[in-house]
Amino acid sequence: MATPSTQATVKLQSNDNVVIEVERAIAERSVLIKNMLEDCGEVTDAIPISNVNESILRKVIEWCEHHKNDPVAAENENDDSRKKTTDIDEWDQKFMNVDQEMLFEIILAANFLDIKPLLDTGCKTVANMIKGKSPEEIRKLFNIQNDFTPEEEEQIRRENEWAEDR
Amino acid sequence: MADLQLHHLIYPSTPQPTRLNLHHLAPNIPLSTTTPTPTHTTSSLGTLSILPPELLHQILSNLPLSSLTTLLTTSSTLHTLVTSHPTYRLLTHHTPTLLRLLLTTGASSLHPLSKLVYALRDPTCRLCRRRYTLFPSSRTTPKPQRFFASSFDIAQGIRVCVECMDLSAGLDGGVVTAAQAEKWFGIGAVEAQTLPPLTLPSGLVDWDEVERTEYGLTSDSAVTFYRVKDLRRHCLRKFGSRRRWEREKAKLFLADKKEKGEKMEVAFQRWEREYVRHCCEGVGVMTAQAALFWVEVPVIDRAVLREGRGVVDAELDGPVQVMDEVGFRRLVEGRLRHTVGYGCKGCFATRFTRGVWPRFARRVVYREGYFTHHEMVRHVEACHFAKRLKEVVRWHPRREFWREFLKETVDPMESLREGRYGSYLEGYVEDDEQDDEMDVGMGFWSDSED
Repeated sequence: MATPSTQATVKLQSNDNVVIEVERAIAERSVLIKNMLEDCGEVTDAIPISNVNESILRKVIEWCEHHKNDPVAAENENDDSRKKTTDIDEWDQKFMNVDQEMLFEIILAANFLDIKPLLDTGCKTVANMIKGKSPEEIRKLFNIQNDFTPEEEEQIRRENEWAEDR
Repeated sequence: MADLQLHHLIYPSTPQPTRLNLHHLAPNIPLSTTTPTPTHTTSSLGTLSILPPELLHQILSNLPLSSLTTLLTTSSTLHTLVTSHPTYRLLTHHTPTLLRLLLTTGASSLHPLSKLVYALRDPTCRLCRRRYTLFPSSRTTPKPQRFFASSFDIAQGIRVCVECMDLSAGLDGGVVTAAQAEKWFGIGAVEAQTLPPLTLPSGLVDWDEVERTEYGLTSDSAVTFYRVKDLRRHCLRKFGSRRRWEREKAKLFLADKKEKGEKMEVAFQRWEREYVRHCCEGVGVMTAQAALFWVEVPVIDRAVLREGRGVVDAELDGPVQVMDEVGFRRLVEGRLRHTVGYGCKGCFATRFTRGVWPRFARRVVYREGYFTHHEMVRHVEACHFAKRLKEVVRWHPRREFWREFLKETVDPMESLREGRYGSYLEGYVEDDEQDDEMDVGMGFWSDSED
């Protein structure tokens, strides 16, 4: 059994070998790192975050710093509170106001590091980008190719026509 | 490492040191170790292809139904992604009526998918919070059936029990307040009193039931009646006058008595095909969207109040011939109370009796829309209330409109017993022309049977 540690900071190493030192409490917003630290006890080496580059890691740390005092949601509470709303905190909205590439990488990093609130915020942000847009606008936004044949498109249009033209 | 191995050789019973090298741990994490690069080339998933399917599904869970419907038409991969989404599949399977209503009315953009499924799963009324347990233990709790939240408040996206729905609306059977009716529809207070509650089947509805209420709706005889009636109308138009039509029919009758039935059948099929083609050009076909602007109402031609039985139709309020189990005809006292018809949700005054949704005109067959009675098509095109209703439904302020607009009554007859339709019946004006036509139609039907 690992002994409870009194360590104040931990080092995180991005995949481009940049080491960033952060407060342990902030790093522990990530369930992955938290479990790692609990399992390993005191860690002096830098923890390699192999999926995340420096800029994204700094961004994630920035989010964790801002949310370090947030209550940690219990596992079973997720379904109740989290899924009820798609509203995003104002600070989070500004935080997520980045280009698409970075947004997706933040989502991937949040998924990798197991930071559920950040992952939710990211998913909601993408969902908000899609909301209220027409198929053509969505295609343009995400650079999606329309690969339907004219027959398929006609069929799908017919299937959904009762939902259109409101 | 060499030191460690040596240590083990010398002291085999000594436990291994617990300290882990984190650089050795990292490769065991089951994800690719390289950061995926976004694809800038155009594909059927575009830049979203960077995200794994489980994350895309999570994004979809945050989307309202309207956006998911849009995504269906965006690309094939997104189509597959949406249709394979477990929650979406669950909802489309179990609550097609609710989804249809949400989409048609524009309320679909209000609630994300995850919220919708969460709200539907819990059978407890969210307003009074009285607990409803699906499987109550017989000893401790009596079965609280009446707490079952059978209504779904579309504006708020919550399940509500019928009692709360009634109380919160505060209208006692009406749909909107006079002020709201004035504001939304331009209906005066007197007319607003006559508004019937709209029905909305919610919750887990059996598919057959949905099919029946959405498409079928009517008895076989009513189907035949309207089929023949519309056919006759078409034939009259085709032959120009009744006399010519009779002559044409007589030719068939006189040609050969043995082949009479067969020839009639062939002729009918031909005329029906023509009629269908005729309808597909626009007459008698209602768009699926417009088809939802009807509410099922009990139709009473001449209302009378009977002790212990509530409001009944005077014409049906007598001994009625029914077939019993063994097939004998016998008279039953006051068996029928009313017939089921359709009222326009727009103006709440115009209603159409009997089976006006012919079963043969299923949308799956004729994709152009619902075949329906031409009077209903004509009405929905002309009714400015229906037109305004469409606009209101599209732009209504969130939470205000639907809460009071949509009510679920389990059984229209039940509402009738409670006297909810009393004032509604007074507002009814008989359409003489329609009845005349029906009589002629019935005459025709008996002609053709001869």
